[in-house]
Amino acid sequence: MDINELKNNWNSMSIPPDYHAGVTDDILSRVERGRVTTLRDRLGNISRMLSQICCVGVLLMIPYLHESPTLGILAIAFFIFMGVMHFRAYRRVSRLAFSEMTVREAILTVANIDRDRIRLRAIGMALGLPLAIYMCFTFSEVFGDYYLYGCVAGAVVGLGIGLLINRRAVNIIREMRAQLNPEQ
Amino acid sequence: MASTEKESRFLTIVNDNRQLLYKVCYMYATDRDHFQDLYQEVLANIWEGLGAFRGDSALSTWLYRTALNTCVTFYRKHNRHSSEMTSLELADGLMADDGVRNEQLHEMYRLISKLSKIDKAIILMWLDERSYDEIAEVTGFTRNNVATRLRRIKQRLVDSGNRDE
Repeated sequence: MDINELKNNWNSMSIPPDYHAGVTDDILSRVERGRVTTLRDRLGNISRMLSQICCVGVLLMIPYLHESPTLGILAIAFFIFMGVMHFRAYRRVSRLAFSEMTVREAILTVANIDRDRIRLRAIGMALGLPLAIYMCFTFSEVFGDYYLYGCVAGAVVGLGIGLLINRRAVNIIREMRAQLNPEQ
Repeated sequence: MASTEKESRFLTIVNDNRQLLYKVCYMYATDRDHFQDLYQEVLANIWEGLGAFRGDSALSTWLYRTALNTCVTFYRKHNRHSSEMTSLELADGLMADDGVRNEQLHEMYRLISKLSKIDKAIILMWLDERSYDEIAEVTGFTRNNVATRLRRIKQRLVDSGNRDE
């Protein structure tokens, strides 16, 4: 196979002018109306939503400051920390500018963003699980043992779902990092 | 930039460079749905970045950068592995002037689809007769690194092509 000949052929290749014309016009229309959500938007929306949930968590825990000050303070501190971290992630993603980066920078940046999201989830679980268990025991003293059983069951299910979701994120990072391996 | 001025400029850029954008998306898509997703994502990123483009680099360089960055970082929920079977479906959309060259293009497309995303970006720009400096500017590698990688890529394509004959 003569690769230089193929290069010449490549330049003579054309996509038929009417190929996907209808699709293109539709896409252009939606892009101009702001109806297209990019990868950056999706990543940013996740982080922003999580920071908003943390704000709600802070508000929900305020009433419990009277009944259980220790639990209230720990929970509010946890939600404030996680909320700030998620908001920082949102800011970082919203500053992604694919048109101003090299290909190498783009792959590294997106991989690092996803890596930091996974780390944040790990930190969240490491801090949140003990807090959740403490919360369950505290509430069970007030509402009874069945509250505790329900919380434990919910925590186990939630943990399993979270680990499954994380595995997908890890695969994304592995694939992106693999692109930078010069031996591939 | 006024809205209508931006729309006009966007449409002009996309229409004038449609072949470039199509070829980039074809190179990374595994099926028609994937192509549409990629093309949509590329156009959206061009639209978003248009306001910040000041002409510091050539328009083609800027478009390559935007399109390639979009394609290499795009991840689908149900990701099918890029293989010769899926690339052929898209290769049917490519046309050359005669049947012999069409066959060669299909074969080249099949071989290129097996490369990594970074290597696809390099070989794609080389096939479009971009200079090593422009390829280095877009990919972020040094000029010497681009030359080395390109040499390896071309050798791999030749070896794969000869092996299959």
